[in-house]
Amino acid sequence: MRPSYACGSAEHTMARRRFLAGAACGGAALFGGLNLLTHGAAAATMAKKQKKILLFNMHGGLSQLETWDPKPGTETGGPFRAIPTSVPGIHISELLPKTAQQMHHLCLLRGVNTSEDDHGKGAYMMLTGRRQNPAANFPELGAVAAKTLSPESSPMPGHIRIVPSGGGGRGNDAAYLGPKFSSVALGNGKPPQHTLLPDGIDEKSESRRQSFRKSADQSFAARHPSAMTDAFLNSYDSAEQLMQKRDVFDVEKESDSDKDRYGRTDFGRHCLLARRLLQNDVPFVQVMHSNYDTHNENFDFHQELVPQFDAPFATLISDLATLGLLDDTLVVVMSEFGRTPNINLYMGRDHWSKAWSVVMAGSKVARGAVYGATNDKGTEVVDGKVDHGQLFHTYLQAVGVESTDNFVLDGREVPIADPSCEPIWKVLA
Amino acid sequence: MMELARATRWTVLGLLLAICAQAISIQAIAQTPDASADFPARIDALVTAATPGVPEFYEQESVLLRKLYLCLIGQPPIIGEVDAYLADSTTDKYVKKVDELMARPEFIEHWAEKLDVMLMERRANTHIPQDQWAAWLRAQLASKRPVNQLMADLLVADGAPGDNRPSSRFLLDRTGDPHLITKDVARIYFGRDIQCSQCHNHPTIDSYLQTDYHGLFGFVAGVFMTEVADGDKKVQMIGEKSASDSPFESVFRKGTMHRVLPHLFGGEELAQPWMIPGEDYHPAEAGKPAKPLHSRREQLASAIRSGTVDSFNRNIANRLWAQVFGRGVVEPVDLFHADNPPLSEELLTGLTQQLVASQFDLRTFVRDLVRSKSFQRGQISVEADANPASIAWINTAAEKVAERIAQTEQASAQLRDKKNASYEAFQKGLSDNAALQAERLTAFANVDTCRAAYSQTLEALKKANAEKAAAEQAVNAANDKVAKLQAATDASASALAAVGQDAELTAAVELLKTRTAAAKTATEPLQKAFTDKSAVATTAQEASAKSKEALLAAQNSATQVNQRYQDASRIAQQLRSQADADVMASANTELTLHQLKKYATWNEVDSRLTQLAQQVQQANNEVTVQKTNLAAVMASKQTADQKLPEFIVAAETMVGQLSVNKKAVEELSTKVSRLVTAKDALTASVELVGEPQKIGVAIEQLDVSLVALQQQLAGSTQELAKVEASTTQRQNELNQHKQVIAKLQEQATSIEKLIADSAQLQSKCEMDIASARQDRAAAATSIAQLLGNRFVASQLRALTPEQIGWSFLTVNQVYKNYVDKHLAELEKAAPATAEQQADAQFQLARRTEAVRKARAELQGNINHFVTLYGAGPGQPQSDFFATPDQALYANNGGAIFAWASPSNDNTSARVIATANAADAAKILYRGILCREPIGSEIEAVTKYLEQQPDQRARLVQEMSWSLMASAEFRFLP
Repeated sequence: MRPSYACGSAEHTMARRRFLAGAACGGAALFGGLNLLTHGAAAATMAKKQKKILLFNMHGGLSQLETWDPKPGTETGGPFRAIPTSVPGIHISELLPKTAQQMHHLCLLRGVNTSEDDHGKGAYMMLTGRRQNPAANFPELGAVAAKTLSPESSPMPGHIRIVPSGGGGRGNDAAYLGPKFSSVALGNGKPPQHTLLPDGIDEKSESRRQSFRKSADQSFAARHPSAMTDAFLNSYDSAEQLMQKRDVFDVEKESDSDKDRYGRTDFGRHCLLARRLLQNDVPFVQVMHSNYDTHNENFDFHQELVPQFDAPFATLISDLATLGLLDDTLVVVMSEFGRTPNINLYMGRDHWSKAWSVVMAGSKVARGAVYGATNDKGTEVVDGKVDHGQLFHTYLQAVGVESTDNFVLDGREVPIADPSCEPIWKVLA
Repeated sequence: MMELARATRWTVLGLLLAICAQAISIQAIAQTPDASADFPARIDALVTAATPGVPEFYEQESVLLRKLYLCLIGQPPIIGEVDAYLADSTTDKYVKKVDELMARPEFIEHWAEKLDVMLMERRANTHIPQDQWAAWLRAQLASKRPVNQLMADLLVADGAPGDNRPSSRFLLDRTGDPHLITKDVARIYFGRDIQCSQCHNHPTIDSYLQTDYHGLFGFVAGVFMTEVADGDKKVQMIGEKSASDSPFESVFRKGTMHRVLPHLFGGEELAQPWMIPGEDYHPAEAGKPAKPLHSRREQLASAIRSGTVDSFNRNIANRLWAQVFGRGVVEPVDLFHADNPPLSEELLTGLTQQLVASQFDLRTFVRDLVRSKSFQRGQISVEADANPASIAWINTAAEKVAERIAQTEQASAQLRDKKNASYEAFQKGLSDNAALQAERLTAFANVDTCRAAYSQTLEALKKANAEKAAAEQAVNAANDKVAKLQAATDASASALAAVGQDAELTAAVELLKTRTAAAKTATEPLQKAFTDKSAVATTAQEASAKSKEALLAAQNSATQVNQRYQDASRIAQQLRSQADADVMASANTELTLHQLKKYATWNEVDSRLTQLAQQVQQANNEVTVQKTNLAAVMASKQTADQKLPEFIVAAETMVGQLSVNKKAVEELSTKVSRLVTAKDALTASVELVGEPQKIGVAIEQLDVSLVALQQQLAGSTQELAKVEASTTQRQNELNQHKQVIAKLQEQATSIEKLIADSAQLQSKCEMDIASARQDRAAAATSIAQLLGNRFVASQLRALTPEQIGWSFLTVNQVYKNYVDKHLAELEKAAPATAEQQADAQFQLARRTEAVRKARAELQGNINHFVTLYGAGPGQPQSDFFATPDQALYANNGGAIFAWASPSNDNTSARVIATANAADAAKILYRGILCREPIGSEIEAVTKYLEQQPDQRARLVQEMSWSLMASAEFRFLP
């Protein structure tokens, strides 16, 4: 039996000051207490229903006017109509007919003002909830979700990005939370790297070399009990389980009828894969849809792109609701910014962060609701103005994370979200 | 004149710098440590003094060898080197090995990697390519550049093209951002993670103040990145603005502005020369950003170079120690503050003094560290079951622990009060200075205003002078025209005189005269304009001079206010030092308390275990005794049981006898009563018959019979009574016997219950023992960790990503093959002469070149491990983490398995060639893990090889892989 050394390990990672202050282990609580903390709490988390976040990153800057906040019949409105939705009184663009039927699950935030019109900086702000600062680097929502929502013992990566191509490696998006919470990119929906045995290693070789390694590891762990040894051994166990669960990442295992329902497009497959991952309790999945940077021919491009998004998205929302997953899953549709109400010479819309929209759904978020409003021409927020920092707090609160708390990392307290902002309590049920 | 002025200013500046250096050296270090003392031995003495009474266990030879290799050259020994070392029986082989390794090219390679990671924390190479930067670092190490000089260079680099451009990477790849530079300089140069303090005092660390952040920021606030043309290309370089402080406020307490001059962590502010606009930069050099006359970053760099900045020196000593020992004397290495005191102040001071005395020579310092016995210590097992002798010291250490804890707690409480009081005094000191601070703020702001005004007058003057010059040029041009026309007029008049009457010439002369007169007239307004512009310029000059006077006056008055502020803040600084000292004392008692509590926990669990063991023993004894008792009782009962039938028979016999006797008595009684009846009848018949005599005879006869009968009856009755008594007795005896049996049964039952109770107690105790053992194992691990933390025992640590990568490449000689290949190529390209072959220097240079080429070729592999095992860019790189993608790569990436394949005489090849399984196991373990296998491991290898004897090579490769992928390979004990 392995001894319990939770205390020692906590001490290892905790700055002296902190535990001296009595915040952590000391004296009598030395054994029982921390043991409970490391195992009991994890067990309790597992027993709870896994909370998850599904993020749609509409790369390039989705136009709010052609989607969530149409202004038909005005000089800025463009050619598309607004259509009624499943919620009386709420209208969205006619480019989203299927999504309109799911409106009763959604919450539109039409008063977003982030004051940042640069792609990189805007994306950074929306994903981290903070303004970019050369002197500090902050973790993305996915890393924060993986850290706060993953069960301790889960072999599954907690932070997954489904990207149109490439991928495979570990992202650099966890900042001070450490690589454990960095994203694993699934390039065009392919499973993570190295989850298949290499050429020349058959099952037999694999089992004997692994059992030789395991027995060496176990005897080492007995001689050198430590949190590091444990983490190392766990990484192999997780790898093994991940290999066994490789199918979780394989969207081809889904039924033909589901594939048809989601559409035989890349984005459709990615949405279906996202559903599959959420069903398997992956706490954070990001799906990207590209590219909305429509400085030219905004209307043509949106007419092409938005319907590509509409059907699979609506199917996914409806499925999540039917499967009962929506109660524990926060869905967010964001971009780095919106697009200008002004239509430029090339029939395009430019970068616009002063008045645009973000959509949330599921978990604790109010359903079938609209929060915030822009003026008639969509040039200014007139009600319910929110920014990236408030949104970030709200995403976390929606999945039960107390966003105003601190992480304690190596004895240092770091605010989970920007301490100068607060959640938008009004959209949280 | 100009030159002279500059020279004077430089002297003043030099003087100021000298004063600044003086100011920093408040805690100047004695430059003369005891030279006679052997420093490694002193380290050991200091380590032992910090945690006395712990037995010294040393690491087994080959494991220590692996540790030494990894520490000095970043890769483990290959099997041949382990064999040779173990076979060497000379007593100084360890020290020889240290020197041999430090002379290898890999020493510089590895320490350049370490410095790179420490300084750049794996930031992207945006402006300086990695190979250039690494080469620069290697060159610094090769030339034995002192660490403080090297680090000072980084702060003042400008990035101008040339050999030293890579030194600008520290600043350039931080985009020249002053705040980022401040944060990283604070952490990397001074061991203080003060990033919170940019916007407010640290919420939990009292000594991380916002003023200190801005004090450090002041040194680099002027730094910026700028694009400079270099021939056709444009390159990014680092420039510096002259004098740039700005006020700041706490985000928590808005409205109160502060302004500080550059200073280091609670130290005095460094005097800054006043910079006059227009006179504050060196003359521009082509292809370089302008340099300020007074460079604040140079001020910081020169302080660091001087070796007198204690906070820098302590941090570097601590960081180098941490590189060698896996953990800092202050840990985490970037949390130096009073509440996180060093494990041993004496140790850290000793190390710092040595580092300074050795002129910051990395080699000397590292060499001393690895030569210490402390470096060679092994893990301490405090498991009683493993080695009872090894725990005796804890019990000694834990003597009277409760009493000592109580004392320490009391001391701690007192110190806590004291430190709180000192902090209050310090805060009061600060608020006492608030008025002066505000006055200085105003004075400085006034200087800023005057400087801006003066700058404006300079601009105006420049403009006026330019206009004056333009007007002058116009006048000159016009005058020139007049002169030329006059000359032409004169020449044509003289020609006319020579020619005589000539109408055309006369007309020409007239025309020229008219034109000259017109030109003359035209110069007049120009002349006037020039006069006007001259007047404007003179006025601007006067205004500027006046403004400069105002600036100088403002500066003088600010200097005076500053002086008063400095004098006053010295008091606050003293109060702060006192508060820090009190906090540190308090933290130290709590540290002691923590250690004592660990011992107490161990002691408590250990004595609990002893008690439990005693209880088990007692219960055990009790069971034994009671079992004996039970056996005796059961024996008695058996005997009694056997006798019971006898008693029953005896009793039953008497019952039979009794009935016979009763019957006899009854019969006799009947007879007697009948005789009595008969006698009564006879007596009655006398009255009827009247023959008394006859009847009397009969009566007499009857009486005789009656008497006889009655006698008989009395006898029988007596007999019956006897029998009855006897029967009762027998019955009683039977009953008694039965009671005896019952009693014995009762006894047996109660003994059985006793036995059951004892057994239950025993099993409960055994359960308690199992849980106490677990507690003790935890306490043991915790104490082992404590000892590791205190350097009296080795502590498990993870290899760095580079160490892992090079280890994978080393143990099966992939690395060696690459180096050998390049040696051969170099030899082929330029065969060494006989003289060169004998020349050690030549050989080393050639090897260094081959090593460099081999490493450059293999670097891609290492980079892959860095992405897998390294933390993100700009993050601290020392935190351990293990992720499934690392394990997946080890399992399925293919590379490690390929490197485990047999080739030449590498470990796998040697194992394959060894027929005897036990010998094969030894080679395998020695080659991969640098140690001898234990029995069960030999057995496992033997069994593995038996699985498919025809596939031996394959099996060996698999086992090689298993050990390379195992925990032991990943860690350093």
